[in-house]
Amino acid sequence: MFSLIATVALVLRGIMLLVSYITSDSFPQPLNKQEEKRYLELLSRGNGEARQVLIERNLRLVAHVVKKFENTGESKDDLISIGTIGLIKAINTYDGTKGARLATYAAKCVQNEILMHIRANKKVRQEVSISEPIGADKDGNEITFEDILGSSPEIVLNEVEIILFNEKLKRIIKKLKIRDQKVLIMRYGLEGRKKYTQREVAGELGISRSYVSRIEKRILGQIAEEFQA
Amino acid sequence: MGRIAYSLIYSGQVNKLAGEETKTCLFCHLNKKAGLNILDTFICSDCEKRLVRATCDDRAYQFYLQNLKKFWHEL
Repeated sequence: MFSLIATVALVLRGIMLLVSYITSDSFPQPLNKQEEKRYLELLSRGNGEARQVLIERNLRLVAHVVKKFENTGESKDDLISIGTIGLIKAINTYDGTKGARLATYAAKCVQNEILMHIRANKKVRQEVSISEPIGADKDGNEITFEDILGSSPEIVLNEVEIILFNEKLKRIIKKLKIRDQKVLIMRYGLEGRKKYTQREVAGELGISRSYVSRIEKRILGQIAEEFQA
Repeated sequence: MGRIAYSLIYSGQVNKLAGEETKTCLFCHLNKKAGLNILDTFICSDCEKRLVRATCDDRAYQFYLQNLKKFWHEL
């Protein structure tokens, strides 16, 4: 019950903040055409004060763009802050010679920043933990996703870990030099291939056995480091 | 007057170091001279550059977001 009241209070606070931003007299008014032109000229010469004024006077634009995303389920506080980041990026990257008006460009940047955030959040929402409760049995005990996967949770977890481990290893190997990759694949018989001795690998690659040994040692160190990173 | 100056310095809004006026950055909390003053909130040039480069996948992005929320609440 308390959490519900807290959630409602938070939503109301967000709405009230947004309304107060736009209606408050202390909130900077947008620049008129001449002022904007003057500050854009100064901005193109790298004037820091112009950058500041252009950001301040376009904060209303952020509130305006945020209104479009009211029904996305994102918190207003988050949206306004993300929009502000978008606006700062817009003023930093605006190029008047490309023909777009500042308001158009900035609105697009603010919108893009918010869309990127929503997209990133969706991606996280799609991921489900196998330890997540999905219901309860007749005795009221919590059932998790891993309980109904058909194998014991430990085995499932181990298999998942091995799969993730393999994927990570593949990504690391792909980043290695071609010759290093060859040494590793031949020495350890990766991807179901035959294992070779250091001497055989040396003969195949036309290098000395001791050099193969050094390469092998270096790669293993490199992989261990990448795994810990 | 002294009390006002003290409270401004204490609140981190204005600092005088070696005769130069510096302000405390919203993000890194360091006292710097160069940066953006948006409605009395200061973002130093270094943090501004990092912010412009940050994408929502970066860990730092959440940090910037939380601090910007404070900025809006304090308006």
